[in-house]
Amino acid sequence: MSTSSNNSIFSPFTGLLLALAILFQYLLPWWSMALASAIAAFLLASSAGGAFRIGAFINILVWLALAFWSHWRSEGILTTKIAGVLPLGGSAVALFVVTLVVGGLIGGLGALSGFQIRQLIKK
Amino acid sequence: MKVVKTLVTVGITVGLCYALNRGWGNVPPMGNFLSPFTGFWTNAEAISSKPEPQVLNISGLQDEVTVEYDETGVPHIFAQNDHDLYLAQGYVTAKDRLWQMEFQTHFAAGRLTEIVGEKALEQDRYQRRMGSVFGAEKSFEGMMEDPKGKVALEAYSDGINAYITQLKPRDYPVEYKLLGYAPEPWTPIKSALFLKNMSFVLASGTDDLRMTNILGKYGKAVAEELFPNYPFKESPIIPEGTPLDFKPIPLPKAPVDFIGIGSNKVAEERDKGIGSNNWAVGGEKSVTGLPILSNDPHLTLSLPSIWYQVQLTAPGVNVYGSTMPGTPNVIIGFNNDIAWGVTNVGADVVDWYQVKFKDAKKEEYWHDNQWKKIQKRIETYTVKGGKTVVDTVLYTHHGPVVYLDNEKPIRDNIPTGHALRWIAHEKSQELSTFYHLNRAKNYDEYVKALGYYSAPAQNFIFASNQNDIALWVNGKFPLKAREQGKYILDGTNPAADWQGFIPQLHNPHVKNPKRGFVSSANQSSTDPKYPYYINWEFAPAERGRRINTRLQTMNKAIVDSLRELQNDNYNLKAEDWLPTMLSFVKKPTQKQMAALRVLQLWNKYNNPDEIGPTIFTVWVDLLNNAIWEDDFGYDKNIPMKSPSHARTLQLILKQPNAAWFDDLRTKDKKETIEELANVTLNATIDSLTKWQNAPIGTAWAWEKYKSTDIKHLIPGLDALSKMDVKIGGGSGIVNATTGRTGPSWRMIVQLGKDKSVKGYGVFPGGQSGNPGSPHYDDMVETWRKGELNSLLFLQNKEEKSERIKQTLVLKKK
Repeated sequence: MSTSSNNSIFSPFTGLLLALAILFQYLLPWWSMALASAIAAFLLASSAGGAFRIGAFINILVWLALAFWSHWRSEGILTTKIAGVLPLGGSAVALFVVTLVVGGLIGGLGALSGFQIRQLIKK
Repeated sequence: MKVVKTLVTVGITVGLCYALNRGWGNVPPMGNFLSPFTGFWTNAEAISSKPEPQVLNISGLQDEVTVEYDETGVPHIFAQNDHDLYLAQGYVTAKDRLWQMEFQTHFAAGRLTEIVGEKALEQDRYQRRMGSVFGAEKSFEGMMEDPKGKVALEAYSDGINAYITQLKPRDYPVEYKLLGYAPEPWTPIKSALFLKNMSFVLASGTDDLRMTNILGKYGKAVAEELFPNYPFKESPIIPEGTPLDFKPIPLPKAPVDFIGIGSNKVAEERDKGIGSNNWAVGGEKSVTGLPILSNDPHLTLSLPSIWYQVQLTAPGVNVYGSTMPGTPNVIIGFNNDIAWGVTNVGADVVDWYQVKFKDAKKEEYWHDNQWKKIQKRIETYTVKGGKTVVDTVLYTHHGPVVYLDNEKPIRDNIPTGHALRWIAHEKSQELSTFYHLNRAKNYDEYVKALGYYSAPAQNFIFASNQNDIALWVNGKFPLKAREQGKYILDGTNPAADWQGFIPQLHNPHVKNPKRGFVSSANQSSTDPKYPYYINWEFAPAERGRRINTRLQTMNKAIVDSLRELQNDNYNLKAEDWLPTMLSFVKKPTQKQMAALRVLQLWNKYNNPDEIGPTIFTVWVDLLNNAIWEDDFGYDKNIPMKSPSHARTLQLILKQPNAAWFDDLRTKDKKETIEELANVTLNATIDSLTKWQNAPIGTAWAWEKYKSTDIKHLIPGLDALSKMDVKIGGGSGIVNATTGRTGPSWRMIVQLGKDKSVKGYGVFPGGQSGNPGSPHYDDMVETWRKGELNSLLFLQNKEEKSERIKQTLVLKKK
């Protein structure tokens, strides 16, 4: 299996993943990100590593953009408070990191699942 | 191989999603909580608000309603009828405070297990066994009997539900996301539950068990001598010599003396900081020639704030003030003609009856020479996770047997095997009082409104622009023999039952007294000449005495004079005690010298940076403890109460050689009050040095010792609380800010003719219950500094003000 253009940042895979991730999570519970990633990878991913990386990356990107927008427009009013509620010592940066690790992990694993399922069926 | 790999990946993915989608103990459902689509991120509010009006379609509205939000986030509601007014009040209150409203009513209903699980079961059980749901049901019945009250209650509920139904999970207040649950529909009975809970906070105090244990140990003579029915120094709410304007009805005959078996459970003190101040000066004492009224209820300092400010305008009403989320109307406030406020009375409305069951089956009890049937009420608790717990509560005609003899009470001043008679179990119409007060135009209408009120009894202060000032000690008071219910009562004797109620018009009251002001600070309602029994002990007199002294000399009062009095930090107790205490230290040691110097130089104000109040407070507490612990605290299994500080001071001054000063635990030695004073001064210095690990100095500053925290309702969420607020005051100080309690709403109203009334107010928090809103705690600093916001009181919806920051138009769907 060769590395196709579908593993680059600008590809139908990333485009579909981005669209589905936003659409699903807007309408459905948070875990629909795994489903969105799986569907996009099922249809368009071209390697296991690529699926995981892109799945993680795109979801991190989406979560980061949204979280940052919330943080920025509210001048961080809640970010530092929640970073104190969770055992993060009031560090907004740590809260961002934890958030993005969760988003990236679920997104990446979802995409990997989708890719592997397709490999199974294709056979 | 591929199959296994795939299964593993999918398994991990699904497993992780599952694990992150549910809460684990105190850990919130993290996936949902952290997701910027659904989690806490969406609760952070933009700093700049949208200036363009927002239009919402609300089902149930009869006409259009306009809501103008001012710069502190106070909604000014303009409706075209009562129904829409209360619907809109429900809607906007829920918009700002939904989680708090639901949480507090769940607490009141004994339903916390549904939110936090098994660990709340004992608390829930206590709540229900005290009969709070039983009381709320009866109360609700009463409220629905008043057609106007019914409209208000139902419309308010509809408004809350109109808000809830349009929420998507991502819109839920952040606490729901943190605890992992969802709001349920509101029902009108929740307002009754909320009001019942105020009786819990303000009118559930009970010392009957402790007093009975004292009676058993020392006999009636000592009990009555050390626990007198009127304090040594007092300045009662109704001024001495106020003539009665009614003919008293005879008191019931006192039941024969009864020494109950008491109980052997460990005691726990009630929170001393709960109380309030209010006063009004008449026109002859003010610059404007019209009254000025002040009120500050002292409650637990918490976030979201206990109070919520609102202006309610509809045909027949235009009122501004504070209300408690969960109840329609304004509770403390003003309109164009009148202003009113409340402080707690602290009446003896909780009595315990020793129950004699027929046998172990506990199906019948002895009363009035016959066996009577026990009624059973089944209480069902749903525990988070699905389990249910069923509990049967036994009721005599008095009320619930809160704990049986083999059970351990959660609150240890609750006797086991006794039935509870409590005013909060009565049918009542408190909401009608507020409905009519909101619309009252003069003294007569105020008095009429008070007629509906039952509990928790309040000192309702009043001022009008007809230049009347007044105060009614108001509520439903049981008609009892004097001191009936100071001790536990005999549940078999019908003469010990409550014999009806004091006629409401006979409640203590005063209108336009000669002294030119009215006031209350939870002290004795009246002097002993009042013909009925309300309670044998009230809150300590210091705040009331200080307020009355200051008002006596106050002339040409303006709003600022009253504001300054609200913030008065003078420690009258120190004035009473210190000269005597200092006189006992005749030959000070090196160590005592520094502390004495501080106390001698102290101006007796509990200001934040002073060290004097810290030393004094610890010393006076240790001294009182040293005097009484051997007599009343020697056995944790027999809870008793120590004589009040006021009674103790009287003893020190009048009987300095009393045997009580001897410590019975030292067999071969007879202590004197002088020795106790010296020993406890040393102990004070030692404990403070140890506490800060620093010698006397700025580390001992009063604000550090007192450490005022305004805490979130969920225990342990310091990050959502305001910790270590630097402020003076204290227990027994007019500025009654203690570590955890304090002025929860400060209001001053300057009455005026022709719609020129001016209101000022602040509370230690903010209008919004959302920690992600700038209005969550934006009033704390103003409150801390003792300042007040000028309250925006609009005459109609056309009136323009640059303080209006946002408009919300509610249209019927």
